[in-house]
Amino acid sequence: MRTRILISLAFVATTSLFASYANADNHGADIVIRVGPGDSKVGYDTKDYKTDSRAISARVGEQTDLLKFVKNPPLGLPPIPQPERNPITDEKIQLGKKLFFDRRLSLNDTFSCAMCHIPEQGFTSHEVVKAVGVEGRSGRRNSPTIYNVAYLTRLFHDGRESTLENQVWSPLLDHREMAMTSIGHVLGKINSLKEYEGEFERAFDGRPVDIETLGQALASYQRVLVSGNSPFDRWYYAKEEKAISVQAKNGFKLFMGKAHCATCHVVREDHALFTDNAMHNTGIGYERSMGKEPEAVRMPIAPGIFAMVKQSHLDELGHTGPIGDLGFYEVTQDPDDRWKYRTPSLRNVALTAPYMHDGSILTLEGVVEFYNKGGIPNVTQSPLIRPLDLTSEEMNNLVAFLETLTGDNVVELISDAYSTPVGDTVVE
Amino acid sequence: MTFPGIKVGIILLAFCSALSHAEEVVPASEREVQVQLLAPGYGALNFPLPKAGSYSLPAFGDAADARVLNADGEYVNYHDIFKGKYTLLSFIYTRCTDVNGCPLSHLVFNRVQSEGNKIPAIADNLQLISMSFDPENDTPEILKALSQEDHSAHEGHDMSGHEGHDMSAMAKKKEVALMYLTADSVENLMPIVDDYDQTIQNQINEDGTQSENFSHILRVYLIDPELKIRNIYSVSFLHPDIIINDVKTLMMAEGMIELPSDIAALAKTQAEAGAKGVRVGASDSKEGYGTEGYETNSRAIIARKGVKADLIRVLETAPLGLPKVPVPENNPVTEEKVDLGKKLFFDRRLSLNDTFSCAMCHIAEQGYTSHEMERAVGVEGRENRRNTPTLYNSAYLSRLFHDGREISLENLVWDQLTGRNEMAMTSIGQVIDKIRGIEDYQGLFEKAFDGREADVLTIGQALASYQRVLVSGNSSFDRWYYGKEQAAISEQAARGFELFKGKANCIACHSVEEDHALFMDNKLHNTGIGFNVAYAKAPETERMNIAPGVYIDVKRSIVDKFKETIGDLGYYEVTQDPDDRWKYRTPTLRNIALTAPYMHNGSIPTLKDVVAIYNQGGYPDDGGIMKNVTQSPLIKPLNLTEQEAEDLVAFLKTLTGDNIEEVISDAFSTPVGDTQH
Repeated sequence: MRTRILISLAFVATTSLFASYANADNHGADIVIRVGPGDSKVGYDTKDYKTDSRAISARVGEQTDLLKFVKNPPLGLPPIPQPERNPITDEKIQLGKKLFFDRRLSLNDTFSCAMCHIPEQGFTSHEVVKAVGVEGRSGRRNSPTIYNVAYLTRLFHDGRESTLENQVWSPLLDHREMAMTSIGHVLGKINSLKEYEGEFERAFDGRPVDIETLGQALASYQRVLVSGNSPFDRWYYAKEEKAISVQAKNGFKLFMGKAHCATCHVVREDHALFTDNAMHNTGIGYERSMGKEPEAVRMPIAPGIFAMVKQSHLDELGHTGPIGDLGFYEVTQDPDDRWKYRTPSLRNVALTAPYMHDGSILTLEGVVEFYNKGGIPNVTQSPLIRPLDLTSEEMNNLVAFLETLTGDNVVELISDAYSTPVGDTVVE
Repeated sequence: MTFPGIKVGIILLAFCSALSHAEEVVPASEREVQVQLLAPGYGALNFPLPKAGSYSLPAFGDAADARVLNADGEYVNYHDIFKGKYTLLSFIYTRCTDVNGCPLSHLVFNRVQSEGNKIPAIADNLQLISMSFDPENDTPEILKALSQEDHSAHEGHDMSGHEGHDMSAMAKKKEVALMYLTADSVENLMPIVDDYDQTIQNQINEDGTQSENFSHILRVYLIDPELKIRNIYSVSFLHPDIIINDVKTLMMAEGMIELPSDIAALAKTQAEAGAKGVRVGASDSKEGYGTEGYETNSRAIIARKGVKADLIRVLETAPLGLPKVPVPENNPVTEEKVDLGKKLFFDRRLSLNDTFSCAMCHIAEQGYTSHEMERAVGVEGRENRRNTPTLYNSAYLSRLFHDGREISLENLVWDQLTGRNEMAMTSIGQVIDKIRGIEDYQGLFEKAFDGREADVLTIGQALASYQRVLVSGNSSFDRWYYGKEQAAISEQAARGFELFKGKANCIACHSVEEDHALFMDNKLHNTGIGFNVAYAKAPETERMNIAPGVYIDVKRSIVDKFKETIGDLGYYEVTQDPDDRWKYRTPTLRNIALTAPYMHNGSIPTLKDVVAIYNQGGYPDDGGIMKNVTQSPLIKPLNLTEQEAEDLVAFLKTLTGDNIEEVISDAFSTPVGDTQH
């Protein structure tokens, strides 16, 4: 059955990006995919704000063949790397996806992976600066996107993990995330759920769920969430002159030249990951550690109503672990690595606000401004970060370019995610 | 003398030798020096040193190589000079005027030389090298002049300092060599300075121009003939007595100097005694620590030696009193896995900062737990909420940790490895990558796991295999009860066992079966200990033993600052079921005499106290209106007499396995994985 996919334009910035999807085929049932939060909150700061929140029943989608991205990687991306021990199969992808959306994988059956890595919000979370886990426990960092994680050789903002397979245990067991109390606790729970009966054995050649197969299943789903063939790719790699605007082309010139973005957000002859898989200190972490905090923060508490909240009160909320953040230093214990974080890919960056490891910059314009002023100088800051002297027009061009990096399968992946039942204690 | 630097060097030298003749004299000629606190190196040492040979100096890294100039202006390499010799390496500049900087180094070197010359092995094998970090001024010519001055000054000193010695014999002997080195340029100096962590900065004059003086933090290296760094002396510890003691200790370990007779005797007893020679318990028993007359009975590290045991044999035949050791189908125990797991268990590099192994909380000679603290302390002194549980007989547990949250030994290991307050590795991948990167693990996993390398599965399987064979039975009780040896336990202990299964009803949870006894039910119960911690009012002050016989009362508010403040709800934390609040796993009672302190939080120091808590019926309420509603109905007042309580304790002391010394000795035979390897 062909699906008509309508796009609701939750982001002003993404308007032009998704217009093309609105003209999709016209047969069959309507599936309306909104890219962005359930409530766009546009105009929330005014008293006459009206919610545009949609009914949960509208959150329906259609399963897609994710394995096709393994066979034919999208334009602009290299083949998906597969570990020798864990070749990608459709069974593993489907099993991993089921786990990804299963709230029962958390201590109190409320929290799935997908609740921080929200498919319609760029597999990250627009509405919180830093991740919030079970029982409202605050994490220290922004949820990173899952798009194109297959290509990362360092995982997490601080690069502490090296494979997707092992990475899954961190959020499952972290007290501030899904809060399961042990590896055995997770395995025992999955074993007790009848929807998983025989599933691991089927996907793993007779092997049950264990410390290895659980990671392999979840990794397999995440690994195929690749997203390329963006307007930029069609222009740069497929030579479609009209795929992006003149302004975006000018932005790309700056990206490669005057602004030096490509030094870390790497673009190659035949593909572009827009990351160097390395760790750098831009100054954001330094500022957070050493800079002066504002005494109070102005917060919207209802449409059009703001309150000044003391920083000391905010600090008390939901924190259950160390609050300081020293980045890669925490992994290496080398003072030279203080405040270094992994270069994120810029693919789909228009969909992954807010930005930086701590989600402290809300818009791409803000990010470009930050780099234009040379970040926050400090002793371990990357020498690559320095004042760029970009004019405001040049900064706009850069943002226009960044907005051309959204992949063509975003809606397809969201629809596929919606087609997956959410594992819940009420599911029969 | 045309080089200005030489004059400074000579002044410095004269100053040093003046000092070396009169130990406590403050140099009157150096007015500004008088207000400065002199480093201990200038005077007599104000604390007693441990006996040479009674301690060890583990290597903490390789001495870096460098290409430098000697006083003859020839290029030489550090490694060529260091190889085969014991070396003290100091970084100096000849114009230095900081009394606690280069002059201190110079003085100490002179004293080490004169003391060292008295001991033939040291005279033959020790060299004292001063490396200049001021190549622009300290040219080979200056160094040459300096070493000549040095030589004549030293001769004079030696003559006057050793009256009564047989001078002809002295003359025949070799001397501790003094050597001066410099770099050929600042550019080539910098990597050397970096390699040896020398913090050196040009001082700035008040007018903003660069001064001739350097700010420099003294760090003197002791390097062995294999080019390993064995000690680094800061200003506070740069003292000739310490250095000579350390050099002697290193040479004793190599047999170049004889061990003192008492230490040699101890080592010999150890070697002869083999497995039976290990001390069970903390290295210092601290008996009588509460009195002022206390004397330590701490033993030399050198006594901590052992022989490898055949641990795996318990799999074929379990010790008397224990059932067959359960082994998971996908992880059969092999000797390779046990050995590999043991190596990992004792490896400090498995922690974030290379300091903390599994064995540092699960201390082999302390019942694979830790007697000296109630609750475990991990890397950087981070406090945990609970007492370290013993590993003896953990093979039989179907729930692990005090709160029973884990079900297999294989998966359990990741909890400690990545627990922030334990070994603090930041991710599973970091552990795997670290092990894969360590040279002495090359090929070991592949050998033990049929070609498979270290990964999330095999690391757990190796560590589990070692822990699984730490089985301990055939206790006095077992020989009496299962082996029918009438005389194996005392009558008092036998009476205690009657109480155990009868009036005191301990057996309801600490199970004893027909043919074996695990002394636990693998279940979780609330005894009241956790409830009491949560609800009882803590005393306003806590009495603390801060030195033998010395106590202070510390305010609660101060004590609490050092304690982990997060509450502990036991099994509830796993199930989220309020009925499970303060429930903890029943521990086995085997080897219970070796695993003090007791209970999940280590709050009860002796078995007598444990029996008293059960005798009172746990903590059914907080003394007020708050009831401990989830306390096990099995815990109720027992009405034991004092005699009966003592009988129970006597019984508990018969549960110590017969292979304890063997297992400890096996543990001692395992090298401790450290950054030196």
